[in-house]
Amino acid sequence: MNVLIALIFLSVILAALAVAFFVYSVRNEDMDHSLQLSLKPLEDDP
Amino acid sequence: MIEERNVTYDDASVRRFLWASVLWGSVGMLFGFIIASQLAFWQLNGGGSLPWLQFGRLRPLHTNAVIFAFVGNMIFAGVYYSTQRLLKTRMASDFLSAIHFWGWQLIIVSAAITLPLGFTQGKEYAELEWIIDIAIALVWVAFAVNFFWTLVKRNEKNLYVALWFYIASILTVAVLHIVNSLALPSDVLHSYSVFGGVQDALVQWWYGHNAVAFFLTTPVLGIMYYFMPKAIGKPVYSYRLSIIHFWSLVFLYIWAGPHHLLNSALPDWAQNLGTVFSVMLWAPSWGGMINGLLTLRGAWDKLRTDPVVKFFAAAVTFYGMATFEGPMMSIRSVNALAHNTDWVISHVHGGALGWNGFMAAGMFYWLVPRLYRTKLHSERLANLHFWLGMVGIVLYMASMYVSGITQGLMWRALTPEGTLLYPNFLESISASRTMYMVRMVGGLLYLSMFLVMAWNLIKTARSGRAETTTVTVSVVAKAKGPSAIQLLLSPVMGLVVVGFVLSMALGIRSVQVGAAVLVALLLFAVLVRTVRARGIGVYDGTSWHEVIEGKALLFTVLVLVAVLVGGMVQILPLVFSDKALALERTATPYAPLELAGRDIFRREGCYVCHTQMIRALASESLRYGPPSEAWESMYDHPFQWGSKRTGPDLARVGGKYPDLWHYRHMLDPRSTSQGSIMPSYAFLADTRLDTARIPRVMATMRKLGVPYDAAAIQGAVAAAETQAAGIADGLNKEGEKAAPDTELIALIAYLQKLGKDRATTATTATTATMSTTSTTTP
Repeated sequence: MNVLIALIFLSVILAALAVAFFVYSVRNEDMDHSLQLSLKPLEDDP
Repeated sequence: MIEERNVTYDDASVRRFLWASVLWGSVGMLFGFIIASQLAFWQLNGGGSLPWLQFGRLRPLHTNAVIFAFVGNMIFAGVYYSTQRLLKTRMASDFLSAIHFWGWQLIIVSAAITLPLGFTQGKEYAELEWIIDIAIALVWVAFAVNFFWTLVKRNEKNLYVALWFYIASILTVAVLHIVNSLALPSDVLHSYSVFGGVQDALVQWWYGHNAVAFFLTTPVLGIMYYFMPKAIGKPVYSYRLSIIHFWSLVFLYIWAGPHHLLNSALPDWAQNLGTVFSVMLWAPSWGGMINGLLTLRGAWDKLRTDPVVKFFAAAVTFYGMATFEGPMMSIRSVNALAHNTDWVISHVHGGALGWNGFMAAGMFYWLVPRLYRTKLHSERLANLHFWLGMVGIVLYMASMYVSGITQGLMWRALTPEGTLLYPNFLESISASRTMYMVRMVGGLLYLSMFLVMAWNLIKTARSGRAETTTVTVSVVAKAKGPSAIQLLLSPVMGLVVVGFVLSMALGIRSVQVGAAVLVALLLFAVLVRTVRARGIGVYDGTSWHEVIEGKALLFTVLVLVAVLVGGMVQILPLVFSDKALALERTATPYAPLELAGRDIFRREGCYVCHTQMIRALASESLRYGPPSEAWESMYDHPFQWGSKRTGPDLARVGGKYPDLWHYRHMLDPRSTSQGSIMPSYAFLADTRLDTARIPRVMATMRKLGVPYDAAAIQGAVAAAETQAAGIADGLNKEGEKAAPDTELIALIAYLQKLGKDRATTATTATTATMSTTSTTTP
């Protein structure tokens, strides 16, 4: 059962790292860009 | 050079598909309500004299109607509308569009007729018989040709993300449908899967899971990527995230099928692959959900005012919930509790009612006013639909969570002495009855609001006019760019391959290799950064991916490769290698009468409530006997492992009860099993068995590898009659008036065969358990 504690600890660390990386990525506007292509659906349509 | 062209869109097809979806959605959900009511009140099954009204026959009708008729027509409406506008061109062929529409409706009508009549292949979500399967393949090809032909004649260079999802859906559904439908006909409306036992199970759930993935999810994601920005008036949050979302989703999804077969007789390696890839799916699924929800940035106020945005935002949230829950349920320990219970029903309805149903509603409320050049008849009714529909979903899902978790816990509960706390399976069903009633109310509420939507949309359409849309589009002359070969040989493609190989190498069971791969992945990350920093793989300021977005054929081929990898690694070894199956023994083929009984079992849809797969779990062994092994079902075409237990598992029911018990149980399940909600199958006692077809069925089975020799086939009718007479004689001695030439006798023969092969090796402990449980009434 001891290995479970280690696994949970490692999982929490990995999850926290993933969340931190995601927050860092959003703050750096890594994902926050709109290529011209993303505007395609918004082109006028009667 | 820029040229201007007038384009007239084919909105008539969009309107046709849209109204078909509304119609079939109403029908499919009505049947959902009927079968939910049958589970709450077994009396609604027709009293044992109306076989076409029985739960086992109507449940496939409900699932097929909702998946392929309601959602199918909805995605076709969305695909036809958005594809033309994103490509700035009309669909390539009006003729193919018409073939697609009318062919699809004809298939739906065929399903609505054949399923209640009992014509089924006995595989969930793939019940339709071979001749209809061929029609599906032909109509799908017409759709695919029309779609890809439109890609070829497009007036827009690059393919928007929605189109990528459509491409993946069209290709993958074709592959899944063709492979899983491979069957050998014995009749115009009867056939047997070419796969048997564990192979059939793997292929079926590879299909079944990916029908959810590539029919109910990826095309709807494409619709999300098109209609959500439209409704909000803002571009999708991140185009870059949509690229990651798309490629990782289509690559990972196809591997996840075996999570439907955890703890079963499927080889462990395939089960583990299913679990690992299902858990990995969490990331891209949530990437898509986040991309959808963050598209609302700066426009959250529309959530209060615009019913279309409300439906879309809620649908995407349900998508997030379902794609969180799915990977969680793919973890073995969670699956051990959830599988075969109503928890799964809750999970799929979160997807169907929340994700698909609300996306459809949002799209319809947005589309109909535009297709008829008018305003929505009533926003208040749309808001009412949203809120009461939501209450309906909550009632449905909450009740199924409660009953599902209750069932899972009761089935596994043990006394301090280590015996089953609830040895009578029916205790778990009795505990679920109230929740079945709540589910019925929730479903009725959702259906009622769907009908309100239909009325609202019809009033909207009648207040406007269906007009043709003609637009002038600017077409930029094609500039010469890198060729497909150059793109495939680009360093970027090399990085993709290396990254893929390294990721797969993480699965190697060696600490040293694992450590080396981790180091290699770090170096790989540095390499990627260097390539990006130096601008390698950028063509005239355009990224590699943006370039392939402009090359429809190359893009399509890459999608096909991404999708096929998983299927080939998982399916091919088990289908083509007997060694991979590791069968320990050989099963005994069914006797002629048993084989005929098996067809009746399949026709009546018994597999929708009864499994034939004892999972490798202690509580299951205590209740049903030793875990099922792959060899036991090796001659089962199709496999009948099932996926839901509204009744107990039947893998070892043979010999557990006398024939008399089965006879009375089928006539009136309550007479032997107090509290049972099973329908009466009294009509089987009055239906003559068609023994003349048994030799034909055996000959078909022989072609599929079941070892029947010519003499056995020749003497099949006589053998069946002899066995039936023996069963009937026994019953008559007990005071029943059983005719030997009826279907009920054949069904009893089949049930008494189940698990008999294994009985010779059963342990003493198991025998003791079986004698304990046989005093109870399932």
